[in-house]
Amino acid sequence: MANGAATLEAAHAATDSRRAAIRAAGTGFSLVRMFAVMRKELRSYFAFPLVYVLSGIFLVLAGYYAYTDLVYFVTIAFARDIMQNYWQLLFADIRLCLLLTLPFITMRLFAEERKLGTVELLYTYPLRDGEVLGGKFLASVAIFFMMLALTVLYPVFLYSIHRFPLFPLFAGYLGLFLLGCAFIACGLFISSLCESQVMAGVGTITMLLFFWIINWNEAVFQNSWMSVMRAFSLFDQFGGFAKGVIDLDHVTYFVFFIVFFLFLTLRSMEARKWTGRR
Amino acid sequence: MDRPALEKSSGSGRGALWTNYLVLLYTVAAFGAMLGIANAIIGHYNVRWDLTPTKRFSLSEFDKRVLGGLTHNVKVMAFVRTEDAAYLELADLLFQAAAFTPRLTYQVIDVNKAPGMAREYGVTSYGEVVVESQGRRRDFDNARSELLIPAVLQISQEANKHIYFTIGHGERDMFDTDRANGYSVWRGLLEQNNYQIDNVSLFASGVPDDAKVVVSLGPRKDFLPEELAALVKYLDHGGHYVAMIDPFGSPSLVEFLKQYHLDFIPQVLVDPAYRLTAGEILTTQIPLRAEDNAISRGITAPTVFSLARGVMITAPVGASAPDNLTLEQESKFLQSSHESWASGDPKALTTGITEFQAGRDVKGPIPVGSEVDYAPAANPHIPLISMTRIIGLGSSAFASNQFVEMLGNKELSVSLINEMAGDEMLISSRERLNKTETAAFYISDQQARRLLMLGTVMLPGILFLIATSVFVRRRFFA
Repeated sequence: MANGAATLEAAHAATDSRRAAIRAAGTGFSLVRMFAVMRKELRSYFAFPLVYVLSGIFLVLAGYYAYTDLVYFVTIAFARDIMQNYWQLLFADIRLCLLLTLPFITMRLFAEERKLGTVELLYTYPLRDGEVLGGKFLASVAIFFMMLALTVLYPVFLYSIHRFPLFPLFAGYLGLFLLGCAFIACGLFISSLCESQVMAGVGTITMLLFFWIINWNEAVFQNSWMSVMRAFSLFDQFGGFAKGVIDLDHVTYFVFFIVFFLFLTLRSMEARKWTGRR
Repeated sequence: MDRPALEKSSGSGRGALWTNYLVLLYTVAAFGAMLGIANAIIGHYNVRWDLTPTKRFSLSEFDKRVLGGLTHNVKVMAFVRTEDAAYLELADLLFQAAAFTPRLTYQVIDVNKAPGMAREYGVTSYGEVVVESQGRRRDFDNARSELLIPAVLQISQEANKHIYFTIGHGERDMFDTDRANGYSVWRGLLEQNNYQIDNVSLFASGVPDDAKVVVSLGPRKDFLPEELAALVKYLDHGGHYVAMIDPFGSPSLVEFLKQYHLDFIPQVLVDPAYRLTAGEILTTQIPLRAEDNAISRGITAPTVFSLARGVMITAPVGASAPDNLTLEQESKFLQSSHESWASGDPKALTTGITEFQAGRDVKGPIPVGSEVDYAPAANPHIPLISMTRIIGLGSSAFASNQFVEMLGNKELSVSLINEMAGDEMLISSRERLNKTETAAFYISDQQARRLLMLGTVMLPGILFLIATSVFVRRRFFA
């Protein structure tokens, strides 16, 4: 008990000194400091092979689906309605690839720092929690954006062979981007709770699977409950984007999902301080 | 974003820790609830950007016109299996329609969970949709969203429109369900469009006053003079008549229609270039369609005609017809290809084998669907819907159960009645939906393999190379 109290005291002392340093800097939330964290995160991402390997695996899977969906489209679907029979399928498959790869990008964000002990260092920097969180989130989003941008080569390649409407693709990619950001926000939160990277990765996949299958229970629940569960399903909300339609409520759902999980992460970071853990 | 209040109270031991947990729980729940409510409000007043080229997932002008014009409440009940993804499009359209007009309400009912309700409405299959208004009801199957607005239009109209089919001359039977020779599928399609199908004997009662369209479906025997007189009387009063006459069918009717400058030639259409794959030369696609005719404009694929004869228009605009009618418009809206011909070979029909022979045969393109519209000579400037309109089709088989589902036949068989009954809105609705089917996108096997190489080998390969170089640098040079 005495040990715990001492740890708490030490944590408060560190927090106080950090706050004093921030006050000395004379500013509130600083974008400059947030981007500094982001740069540091990106440097550490690119300094290790993990991000390249994960992006490569993602592209192998996405490229394979791009090919098999194309074969399905020209043979089984008689090459009719490219939006419905190709892009919708491909977006749904890329969604699955993201589910399998993004948790491994986010698992290291807090858990690795905790394992290496660098989290103590991070918390003693004159940085607000929001700046740390924003920097880590944006760095992961930048990595994800790079991965997603590489898949744009598929439509570019096909467009060079045959013209098709491009605007619906914009909606699909916007949906994938928002979905990926939601995965990252969720992964950040789980990483902030876990001590080990493996636990963070597995926990994130489990959590995201929950949001996938939340409405796979039609036999049990009545329609009114089903509509509520459907409203919470990450994957049902994505369906409209894949069709080439942007619904404001789907966009706000993803934004609110991201904001909520970032808020949870912030609270988790804060709770670790007043419980004396790092 | 730091929380000084929490940290100040945290120094006083376990009680303060629990207080912090409670505050944390409260703030998380409150923030989550706030976001949930905000999302629900935004969802209620949703804004949609439909980026598809034809605004496929938004209410069209036609939909808005129908929904905006509702004068009575309409209730839609979709009996589906909620686990079927196919119904989501219908649910989306119902949501948009209900948001557009308070006159439309809807309910999505899971047949498995509410079997009693399904029994009460006599619903036996998944995907059946019931539309009710003013005590009347219309059903349609397969939960197809494109049928919803036409069903709402039908139910909101005061009465069904009568389409009469002449009988007594060996005509085909609209009530026959035979797979090859029946026409029950076409009848079902017309009934979905709110038409009431009835037979009429011209000899017994003439053409009823409420007839919107009169159709002769493949008559084989001659019409009596009294029957033709009843037909003339009907046409004289702006009647709309569709004659679908097969080769050698009803010579007296063929003669009668010549007065209206429609000539059903006896030769049978042959088109080896456009015959169906591995099929006979007498069953062919009809590739040429007039874009200025509402009937053929709405068709997305070539139609398929079997044992068809040509229908020529024998006079120019301005020509006279019985009862002082003047030809105001004419259209050969369906024609066979340039490689086709109309064969006068008597053996062609039985053997299905013939060669073009100059002098005996007529070189293509051969019209197989022609329309002539007449106005009274004294008053030529009347709207099209008030004119006497006659459509001649050189075959009746295209609308039979055997052929009606092929390529563009369904569109043709329904659109020609829509057009003659003055329901061009229904054609334009389908036309809008059909436009979503973009042109076929064919890609060679080699091109597809290039995509495979690009996606699964080249791009990931570059990334794996970088990963290897990073690993080597860190392992051996760091």
